[in-house]
Amino acid sequence: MHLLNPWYLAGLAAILVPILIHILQRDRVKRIIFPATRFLLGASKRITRTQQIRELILLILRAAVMALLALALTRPFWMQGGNVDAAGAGAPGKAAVLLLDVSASMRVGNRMDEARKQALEFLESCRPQIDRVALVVFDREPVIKIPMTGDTGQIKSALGDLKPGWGGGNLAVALPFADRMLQADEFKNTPREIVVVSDLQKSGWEQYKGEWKLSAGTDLAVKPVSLRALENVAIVQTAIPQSTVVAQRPEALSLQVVNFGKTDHPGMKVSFKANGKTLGEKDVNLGPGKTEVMRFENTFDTPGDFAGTLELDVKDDFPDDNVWHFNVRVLPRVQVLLVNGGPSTSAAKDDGRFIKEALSLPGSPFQVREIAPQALVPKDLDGVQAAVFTNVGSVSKESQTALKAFLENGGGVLLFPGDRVAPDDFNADFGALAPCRLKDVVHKDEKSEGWTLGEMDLQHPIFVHFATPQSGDFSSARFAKYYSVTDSQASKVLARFIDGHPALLEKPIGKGYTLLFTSTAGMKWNDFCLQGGVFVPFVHEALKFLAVHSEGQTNTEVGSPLAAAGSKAVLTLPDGSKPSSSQAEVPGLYGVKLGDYDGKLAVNIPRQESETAALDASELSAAVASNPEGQEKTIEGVKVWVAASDSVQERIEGGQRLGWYLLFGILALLFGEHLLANNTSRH
Amino acid sequence: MSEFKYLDFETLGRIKNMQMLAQGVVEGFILGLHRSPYRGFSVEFAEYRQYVPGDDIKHLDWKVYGKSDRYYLKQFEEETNLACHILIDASPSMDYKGEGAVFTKLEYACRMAACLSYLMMSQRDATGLMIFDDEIRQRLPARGSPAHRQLLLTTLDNVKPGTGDTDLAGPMHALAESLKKRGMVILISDLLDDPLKVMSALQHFRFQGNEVVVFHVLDRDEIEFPFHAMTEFTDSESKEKVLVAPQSVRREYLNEFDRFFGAYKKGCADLGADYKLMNTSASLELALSEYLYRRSRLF
Repeated sequence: MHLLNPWYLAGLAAILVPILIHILQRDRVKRIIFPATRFLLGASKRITRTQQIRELILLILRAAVMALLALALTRPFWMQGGNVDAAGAGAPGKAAVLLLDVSASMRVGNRMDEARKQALEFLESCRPQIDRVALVVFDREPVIKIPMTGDTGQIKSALGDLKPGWGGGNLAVALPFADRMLQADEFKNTPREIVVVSDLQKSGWEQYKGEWKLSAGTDLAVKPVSLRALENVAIVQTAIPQSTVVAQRPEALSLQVVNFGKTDHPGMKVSFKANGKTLGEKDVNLGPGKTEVMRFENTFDTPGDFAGTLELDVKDDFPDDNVWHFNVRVLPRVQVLLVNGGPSTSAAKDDGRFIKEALSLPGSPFQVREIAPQALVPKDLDGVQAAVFTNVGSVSKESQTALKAFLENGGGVLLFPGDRVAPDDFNADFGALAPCRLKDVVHKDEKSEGWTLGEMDLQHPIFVHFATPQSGDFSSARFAKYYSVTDSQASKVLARFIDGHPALLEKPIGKGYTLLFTSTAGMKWNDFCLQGGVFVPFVHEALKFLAVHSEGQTNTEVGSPLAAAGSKAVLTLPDGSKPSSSQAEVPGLYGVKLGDYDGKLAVNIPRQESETAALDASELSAAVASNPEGQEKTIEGVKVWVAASDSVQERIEGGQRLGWYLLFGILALLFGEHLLANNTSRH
Repeated sequence: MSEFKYLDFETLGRIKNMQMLAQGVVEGFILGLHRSPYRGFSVEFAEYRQYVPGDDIKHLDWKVYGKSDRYYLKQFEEETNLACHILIDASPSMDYKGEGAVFTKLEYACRMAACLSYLMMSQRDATGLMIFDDEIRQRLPARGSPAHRQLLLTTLDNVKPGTGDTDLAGPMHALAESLKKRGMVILISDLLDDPLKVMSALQHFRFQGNEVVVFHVLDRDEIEFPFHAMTEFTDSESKEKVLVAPQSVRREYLNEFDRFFGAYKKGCADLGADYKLMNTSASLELALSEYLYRRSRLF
């Protein structure tokens, strides 16, 4: 038998209490000279003997009550075998999950070796064929490497082959996974333990919101492996277009660099490389904890995949995050269909004229074809990436269906209503596709100069190039009329007039988008089209946004799927070999072949792994343990936090409840004592 | 001194003078009888009868005539002439006073005897006294004079418990042998002796034509055995010790006591003797009533 509270055994001394009382009472016997003593003589001998036996039994009962009470308070329990210490021989077999971190950050220094060592130490403490252990490795997702087994040798062998991956660590998912493994019925009455061996990166715990706690009866041992503060500078994020269209105008490739370490890095070189050449270089000074955003430019004037790297020239503990692979898919000229509902020989009256001219400038990446609304048939959308409707109020049913399919397959639609648009007709024909419903035409006052564009979403791809100073002034355009709109809750407002009414709205449909400008494309209601400095780039950017979609991914992270389900694309790893998994497992530039298409896929390490801040083991335990008490142990110089959730012993004792049975026994003894005591004093 | 009728035991306990006590109790008792509907007895003393022409003048009580200027005959002496013998057991067992009791059994017996003798002499009965344990310690013959009464009460005042064993039968037989004429024998004792022997002695009295009244005086403790704590009981005469838990022997004790008490009660009934169980907290007037009742049966 084992005892949960052995110190209560000191209560056995209470057995002396009834004995002492018995002895003291004997000394306080009354003495009386009683004339009628003769009446006692006959019975006294027999009664005295009986009385003495009864008194002895009462004494024994009372002492037994004290002894059982002390024993009940010690909360005894049985375990198969002898010693409950997990390290002791004879204890029942435990079930343990060895949760090993194999995220990208484990490549730093000798972390993986340290982790292997800690794992082996744990396995050495397990008894083969008695204790069962499962090996679960985790980066982004946990994976059972070796299921629960008593063959610890198998796990030791597997440890030797383990290498850190490239994915980001997600302990917030791995820990509950391990806990669930131990909730199987077969482990119900078994001592359970999770051993976490990890560098405990904080980024791997950020998903945890406190909603999950370790199951009662499962112990948690946390063995951190990152003992030394890391020196790491990394490219943490970039702003590089995934796709673009052939253009003469350069586009920006931005990157953010962060120094996570404590060392100053002055004059650090940052390079922009592609197609085997260095296309740009810059120097940056980065102090400890500092961050810097840098920018390169490139003109994507050739259709096809433009793949390269952004590189940091620095020596640190984690060099893998000093390189950023990228791929920009450069698309050929965008085919645009212009459906002009207000053609005219007069430029002032032609609704589509300025759109067409903006798209037809020399060197424009667009090719535009104009048709009348009544001529529009579904076939006109074949081979077109974007469609512009100027002053068109209604289209045929077939065209509506075709437009819907066009949008869902990634096409883009830009709508400019006008004086030929009846709101009811427009809402009926375009209502399902448009970002909103047209309401009324809003007229400026006679004396007023009209409205200008006010608020714009400068983060949006359409307006991002206008964010910098000297890049165009939209307030130069004056609007005399515009449509007020309604039912725009599902849409995004990209620009507003100065009075707050929406000017440009966006709605995603399938893979494509619809944009609606609430005033005319031509001169009838505004002079926007005459503001060449903004109108032309606006039209270009709007159509680029509508027309340019990836033909599949061009950039992704380690751990992400390599291709859409059912895709017939053939991929090759950076080293030319075929991938063995459907997920990207290594960083670099993958080859992608799909029919005639021969492109690239840039895969990068999740940049959360660059962040060196580590979680405190006790913090982790306190967050997840049902009982936050625990203790820190130092094993061979390594501080290990062992949380004490409801301990195994408490769980087993709680199940057996021997203490309660003892208490019931005490009640029975007290009842018997009461009966016997009363019987001795009954008249 | 009518207030003596209502004397409670605590007050009685404080009255050390036997005469005062007896007088108080008896007079209170008599007054009570006056008021009671129980008219079996007249206390217009039968011992005095107004002289009627023709009566023998030799029995005239001249002292009364001197006081009252009337002629009264000492009827009592002539017509009753009862000799009462009060026997008091002064053995060591009588020297017991239980918790809460005011008197020991002996003190109670003496006060009872004092009251009885006072009343007897008031009735012009000659009263004698015998104090005994295993032998006669003191004996006063039956007389009726005031001086005798004084002597009797003084003797009762000074009774001490004996040191020998109880042997009721021996002294009683000795007394019985010495009695010349029949009278009333009143035994006041705890009767903690062999019932057969005691009954034999009482039978001796009865055989001689005496009226026998037995006042069986016991302490409440002896009657009820109210003890609780572990107690070592020592017999007051044999000195035998018994250590018992009283609760465990109480039933047995009471059974023994019932047998003991029953034996005397039956034995007295068989003999035609009056038997009265008195605990030391019982009213002394009860004894006086018993005496009067018994006396009335004689005459």
